[in-house]
Amino acid sequence: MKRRSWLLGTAAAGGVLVVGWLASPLRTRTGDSALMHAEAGEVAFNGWIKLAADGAVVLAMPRSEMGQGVHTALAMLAAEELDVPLSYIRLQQANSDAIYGNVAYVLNAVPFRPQHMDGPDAHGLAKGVRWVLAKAAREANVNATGGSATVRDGWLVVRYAAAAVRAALLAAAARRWSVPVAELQVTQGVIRHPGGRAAEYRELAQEAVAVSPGQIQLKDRSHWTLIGTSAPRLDIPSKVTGTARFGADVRPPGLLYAALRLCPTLGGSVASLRADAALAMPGAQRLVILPSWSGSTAGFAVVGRTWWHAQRAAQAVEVEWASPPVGVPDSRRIRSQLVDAVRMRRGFRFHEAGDVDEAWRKADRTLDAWYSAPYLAHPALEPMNCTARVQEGDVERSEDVV
Amino acid sequence: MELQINGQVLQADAEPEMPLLWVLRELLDLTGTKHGCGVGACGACTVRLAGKPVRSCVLPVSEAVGQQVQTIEGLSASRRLHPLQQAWIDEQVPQCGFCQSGMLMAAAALLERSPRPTDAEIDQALAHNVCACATYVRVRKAIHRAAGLSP
Repeated sequence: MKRRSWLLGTAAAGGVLVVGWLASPLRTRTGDSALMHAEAGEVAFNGWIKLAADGAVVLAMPRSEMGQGVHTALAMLAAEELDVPLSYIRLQQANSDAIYGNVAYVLNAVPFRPQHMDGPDAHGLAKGVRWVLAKAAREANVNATGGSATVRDGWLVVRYAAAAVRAALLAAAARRWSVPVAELQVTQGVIRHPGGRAAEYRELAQEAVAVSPGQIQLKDRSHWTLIGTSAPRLDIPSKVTGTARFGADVRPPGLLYAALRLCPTLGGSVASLRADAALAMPGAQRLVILPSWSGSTAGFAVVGRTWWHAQRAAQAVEVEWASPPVGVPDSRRIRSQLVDAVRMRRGFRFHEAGDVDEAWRKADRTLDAWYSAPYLAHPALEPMNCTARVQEGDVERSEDVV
Repeated sequence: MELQINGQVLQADAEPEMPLLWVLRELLDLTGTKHGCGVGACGACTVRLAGKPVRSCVLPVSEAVGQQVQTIEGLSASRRLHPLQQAWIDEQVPQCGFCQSGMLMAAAALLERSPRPTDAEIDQALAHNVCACATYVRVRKAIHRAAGLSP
């Protein structure tokens, strides 16, 4: 495809969305097929999609499923553009590569207020910063799941990657049967020609990777059959049978567990400890001191056969904690600082719509209330964890692809 | 030591005071049962001991010897789903899913004791199974569905 200027317009004929690019954000994120690690019988088309011998469409999944439904949502985008049932999609933990970075997540984090971004008076600076940041984020491989950014980020990227596969398969069928692509139809992963010929995607896969897909067209929304529907979540069946694999459920060979004990006061450290008896306990293996790093709270870890063994031994370590330096924040101090800030300082206007003063005057009744919330991290039931195997510089990561 | 788990007799090299949860997860590779709080407060580790729901993270394995232990992996004896599992899918109950094994085991014990539970009975039976995603309303619907009542 020629590099052309960014264009996103509806083509009059056929009701399709024609997408072309300069330094194409989508094309640069479609990626190399080597990223999919195609095995025998599999054919990889790009960094997002390969076809398996059993007809499944394997989709690279760079985001974490936490019950928010993103594994199903991204699978729906791919199924929609490929014209296959959602059940054909199988997920594979994505490789590490910049194409999987979450650009929308990075853009979310820019501290511009709504007024900077929207409306006729939007600041050129804010738009410029976001544009530069989007370019930088595409290179940076910031892969995060959060901020409701997964679908926003994958919306065009996954659809484009899937549409490219569909276009290649159609081109292969057209070539095999010597018919124009325009005469072909696809239903449920089967390409048909009115003359009577038909082929499943998997039959055409080998030929399709060798042909140019031609123009990639995203479906117009009037042709969507899956996007916009409420599809059953793909991750649910395994979550009711106990077979879903969470981070702490993977068992790489030789796995040991560490239990941590950190100084109970922010910024504190270990003054002294005695671990002889603890390390003599069954299943305990060794003690690792965790010094303060860049102001973090120090402590230690005990490594053991299971987390229970490690935890039991860690609790048995006799430790004297060193008082933190004066001035370290505590809950009371944080709260009083925040309350003072609200009371004493002038804030800024985050967003403005309509005439507040006027509405205030006209109101029959006004409420004056003080809200406070504790300083809490996400209180997930699953203990925060990630399993990684580091071997001679290679990292193999296991996450919750279920 | 010898344990009876999901209808099978299994051997585990465990200290008697090791909680059943860790024996299941680490020694027997039955990872469907989850470690949530570790102090018997959240219910994620719920399994059934002689039919009754117990918190496996605070139950010494020695107390399970000689009794039938059922985990989520053994909820359905056949290859087909247990009615609760099917209802859980039909009602799209789980979100992150971490508490759901425990929820299902507690619900299975409830249905055996009370085949047509009221909302109040369900709430009472599952009062100590914490779901941080707050799936409670769908859990209740799914239990009614499994009990053959309209959700």
